[in-house]
Amino acid sequence: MTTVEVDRLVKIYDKFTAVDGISFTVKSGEFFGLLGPSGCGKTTTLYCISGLETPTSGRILFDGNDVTKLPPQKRNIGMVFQSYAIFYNMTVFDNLAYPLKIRRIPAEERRRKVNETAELLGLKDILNVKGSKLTPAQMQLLSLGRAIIYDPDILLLDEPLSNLDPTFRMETLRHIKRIQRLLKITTIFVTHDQLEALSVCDRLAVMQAGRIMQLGRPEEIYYKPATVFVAGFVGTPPMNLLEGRIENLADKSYITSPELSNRLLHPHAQSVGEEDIIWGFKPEDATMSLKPVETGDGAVIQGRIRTIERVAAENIYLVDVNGKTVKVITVEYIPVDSKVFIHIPLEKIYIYSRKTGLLLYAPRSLEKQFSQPFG
Amino acid sequence: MSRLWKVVRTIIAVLAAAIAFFPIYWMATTSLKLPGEWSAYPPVWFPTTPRIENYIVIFSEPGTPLRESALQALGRGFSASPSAVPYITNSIIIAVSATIGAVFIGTLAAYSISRYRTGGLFTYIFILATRMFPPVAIAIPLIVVYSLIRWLDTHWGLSLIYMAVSVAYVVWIMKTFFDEIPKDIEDSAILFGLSHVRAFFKVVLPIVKNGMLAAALFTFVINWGEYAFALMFTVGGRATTIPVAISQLQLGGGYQYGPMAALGLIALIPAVVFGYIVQKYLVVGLTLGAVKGRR
Amino acid sequence: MSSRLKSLKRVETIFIIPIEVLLWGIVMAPFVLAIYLSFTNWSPAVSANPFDAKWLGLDNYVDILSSTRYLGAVFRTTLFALAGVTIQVVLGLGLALLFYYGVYGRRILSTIMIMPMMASPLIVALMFYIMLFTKGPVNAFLSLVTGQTVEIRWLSSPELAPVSIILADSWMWTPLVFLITLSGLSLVPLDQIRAARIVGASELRVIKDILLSYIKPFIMIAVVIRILESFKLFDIPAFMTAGGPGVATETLSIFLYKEGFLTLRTAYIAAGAVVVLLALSVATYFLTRSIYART
Repeated sequence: MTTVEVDRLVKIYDKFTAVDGISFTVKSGEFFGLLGPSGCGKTTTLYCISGLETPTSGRILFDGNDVTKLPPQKRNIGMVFQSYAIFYNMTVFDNLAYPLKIRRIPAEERRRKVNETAELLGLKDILNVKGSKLTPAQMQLLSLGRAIIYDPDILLLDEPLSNLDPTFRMETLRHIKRIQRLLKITTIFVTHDQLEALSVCDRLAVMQAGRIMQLGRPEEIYYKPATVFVAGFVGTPPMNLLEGRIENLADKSYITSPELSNRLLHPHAQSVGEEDIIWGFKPEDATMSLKPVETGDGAVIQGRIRTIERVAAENIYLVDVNGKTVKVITVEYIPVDSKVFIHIPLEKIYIYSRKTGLLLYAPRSLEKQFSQPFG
Repeated sequence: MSRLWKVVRTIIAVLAAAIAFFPIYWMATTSLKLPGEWSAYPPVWFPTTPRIENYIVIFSEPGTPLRESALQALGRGFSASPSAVPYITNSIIIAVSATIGAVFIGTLAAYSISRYRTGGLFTYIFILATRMFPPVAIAIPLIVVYSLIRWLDTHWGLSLIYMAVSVAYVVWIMKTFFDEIPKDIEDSAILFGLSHVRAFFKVVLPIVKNGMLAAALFTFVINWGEYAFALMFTVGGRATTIPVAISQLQLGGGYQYGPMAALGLIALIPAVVFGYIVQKYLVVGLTLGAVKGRR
Repeated sequence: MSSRLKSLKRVETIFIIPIEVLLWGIVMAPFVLAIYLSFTNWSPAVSANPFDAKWLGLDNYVDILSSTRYLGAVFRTTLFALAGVTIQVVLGLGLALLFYYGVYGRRILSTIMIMPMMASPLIVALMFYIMLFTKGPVNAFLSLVTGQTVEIRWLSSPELAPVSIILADSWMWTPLVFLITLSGLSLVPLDQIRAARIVGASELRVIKDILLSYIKPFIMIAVVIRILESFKLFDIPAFMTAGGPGVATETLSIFLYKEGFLTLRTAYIAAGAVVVLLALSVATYFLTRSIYART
């Protein structure tokens, strides 16, 4: 039950700034995510928290204690690596027992704890198998078991699913979430897969180029992406973003954009305060038809369907609009190459500043329940 | 804190490097000293006036003006020492020819063993084992044969022995390199109509030429510094090589440390240079076998 | 299709012929001849034709195996080999770990550190010879460091002469162990080390449990190479101490050389050589097979 505080963390390698002064706090027992593309600094941050790297400046605090200068051995944390890093020459039993051996725990109790942990992770049947002979999924579970067997205060996970076959990822993620709930252990989870992060984390930070772009609960991140970057990163597929302008004519404000057939009357555009904007909408919020839809408010853009991707029961249409690709999700089937009209309800449109990338206006009607697969 | 440890480690490493370097340094400076300083006590750590007379003695013939000029500083004791140039020439001829032979023969054998396991494990171990035989043990009966066919004290005779003795390492290194090349490469060349022999020379060899270079340099260094066989097989003095010459400077009355050191330094330089170039490939060639099959 | 088969068969045999001829001619034929001679009383002083001699059965073997001097040489050589290899492995491993954890000036330092390996044994012998005079730089340095006059008789005392030999040999070969071990260390997956640290392993434990288990095959290779090569020890004791004082540094090769060349008791020595060659062949076979099997 430990809180983790990262205070103005900076890490510079030679000339490259990997982490550019970030701060956040992970609450006790929280499942916290660090999400971002490769090179954003999330792994470096995790390594600084673990003690495998020393920060250039800034502090790491566990429960208020400054551990920045403490070597990893003394931090009492558990860590799961992307490459599993289990001891290949040892059996599953010895792998699990290793941390306990180091702590001079007597053999009898060691055996008890190993069996307990193996039971928890479903490894009981393979206790005598050598590490090198396990399947990747088993290796990762073993890695998890070894990480928690000595009751660490904090659990760190560095892209634990990335090296696994996609078929095993969800199941392993379920194990991780289950264990975390059971042990109520403060957990920090690094990944580049936004679907993973959004589905298991209590809160997460989206990182880019060494900075935190947005920090919040998954719903906030998903429904109110704070920057253009976050909007374009989160979501399967992410938000469609197009350049536009806000024009004020006689007391009313409009959004104009090369893709829009008409000026779009937007009641809130005035309050935005900027003229050059980026406007966006989520693929699942738009509808598409072969004939223009005549309902009043809302944006209409025209395009031609380039390809269709089927994901589970949904069709993701890649529509060529004015040279750009716009994605729309709908259950209906419309053949490739068709000329279509895409209709976006007014209340689903997001507005971002073109200059700063920050969110200027987000649709109000977002009280939807965001469904988590692990409820 | 870890910086401090790095400094400590560096200090120890510097100590080790100093120990590694000092004997070479000492021999180099001895070669630049006059007789008075060779065994001076306390020792002359750094010769303030380096003299090249030792080198002149090595490269000049007795009786020539060049030699006389050197003798003024060194004393008459060196008046009769023969020039070391023939020894250097011998060493070069013998080492180079032996190396060419060993690399050629060894590479062919390595290919055969790598691709077809020719002769099985026994042949491979047999080849490697030949390196383990003490020269004296082989030499005694071999000298009998050599004297019968009059190959004693010939460049060719000694070169042949060197080839036999150094071919083992060539096979070891080259086999490792051949093992890494997929068989498909020759197979596709053969499908194109090349005979297997041509496929080998035109297609496979160019791929391993770095390995061959490494094996060549390594073999050269071994043969260049070989002492035991040279000692036993060049008694007549015609094919005498550098190592033997150096030891004779010791035995031949008077302790001629200066010229010995000079000759030694000359012998050392190609070895160190080649060895440095080759070290990376060496370790790869010698130890790759241990890496396969590990994660 | 069958012509391709024929072509294949030809290459595999043709390529192995040169090395077989070379090795059987230069290495094995003398071995066989030595075996024959060992059963006779032949000596070049008696006749130039080796087949002129009288058959003695096992007499030579009985003689040599009961010769204390021979047995002493065997024992001494084994001792030198084991002591030398132990020093080389301990130092080589230690230095490799040092460099693995990081030192400043790594490039320069490692270049200097592997220089000794490139020199030929005779040159090494020369360097140590001129360093180890009773009034030489080594003693002078020790005097400086301890503040007392140090006059250790490195080469002329029967107790220390063997130490000097082992020192020179180790100086020369530790870099090889260092190089091989360092390459092995570079292959250890970093994540395993990190994981061990996270679960609480102290640095010593990390070295013991992770690093060492990964480099074991490398060290084994280095040890086998070094032990087998150490049995041939000849150049260094020959030059530095001529096998003395007395027989203090008389290795097997030196014994065979002295007896074989200086007393011309060829047949007797042939027996000694055969025993050595047989023992080494068996040892090489088993050792190499165990390494080969493990990789």
